[in-house]
Amino acid sequence: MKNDNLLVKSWTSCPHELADIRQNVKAVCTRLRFTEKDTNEIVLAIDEACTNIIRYAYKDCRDGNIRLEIVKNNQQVIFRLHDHAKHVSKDCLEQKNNDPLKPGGLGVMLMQQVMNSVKFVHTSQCKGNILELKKDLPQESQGNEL
Amino acid sequence: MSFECSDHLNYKVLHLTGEVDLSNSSKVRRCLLDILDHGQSVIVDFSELTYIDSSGMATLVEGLNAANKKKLTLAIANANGAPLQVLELTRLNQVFNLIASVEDIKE
Repeated sequence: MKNDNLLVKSWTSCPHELADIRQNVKAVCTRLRFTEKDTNEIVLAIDEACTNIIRYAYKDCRDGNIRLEIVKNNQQVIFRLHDHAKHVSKDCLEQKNNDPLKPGGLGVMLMQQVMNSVKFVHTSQCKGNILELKKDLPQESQGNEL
Repeated sequence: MSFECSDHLNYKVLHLTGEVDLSNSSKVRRCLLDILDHGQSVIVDFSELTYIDSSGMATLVEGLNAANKKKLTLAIANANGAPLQVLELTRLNQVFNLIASVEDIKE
């Protein structure tokens, strides 16, 4: 299946970078003709993923690196977030808390709810972590070249 | 993001403007908890809020829990667009007192 590259960009793990990450994701979603509602949700999911990288992978250290790669195939848009932190456990994507009034777990819940799949792609050659989030394309963008 | 406070009846109104995320939610938290520590109920006005993430929502939940303990009220006014979507996705729309406008609060 052919993949089209839509974006490759890096930021530092400083929370002030989140606004620019959201702008970039929003621009790609608009290009892919997602509705405003879906765009808002996807932007939120990627922001939550980056927030978790900053807080839990880099432990609030601001000079880490976050690289976002966005590709599309015929059916889906794929967001890959690369960091260079220590490997994190795959268990951190499990929803442990279904009560929104209890602290913790809201970000993971939002990612899982919005995206069609959320998983870590660990390879032996890869330093750090790669979080992959997939979302089905809107009907009118499926199979189309941009 | 910026915020300012005003008074409406016996409520403090916290007007949030722009985007609340990890970079600034701690400022909102301090302000919200400070209002509640002074024994005042609060309305958080979302009318100029364009974005809020889970760290912002967690701040509001902490505020709600603090308000409940002190038998005070925390309401959210004018939620729409992306912030309303976050409230719905997290099901917090069923937990918070959502009002259409600041003037809709009952004494």
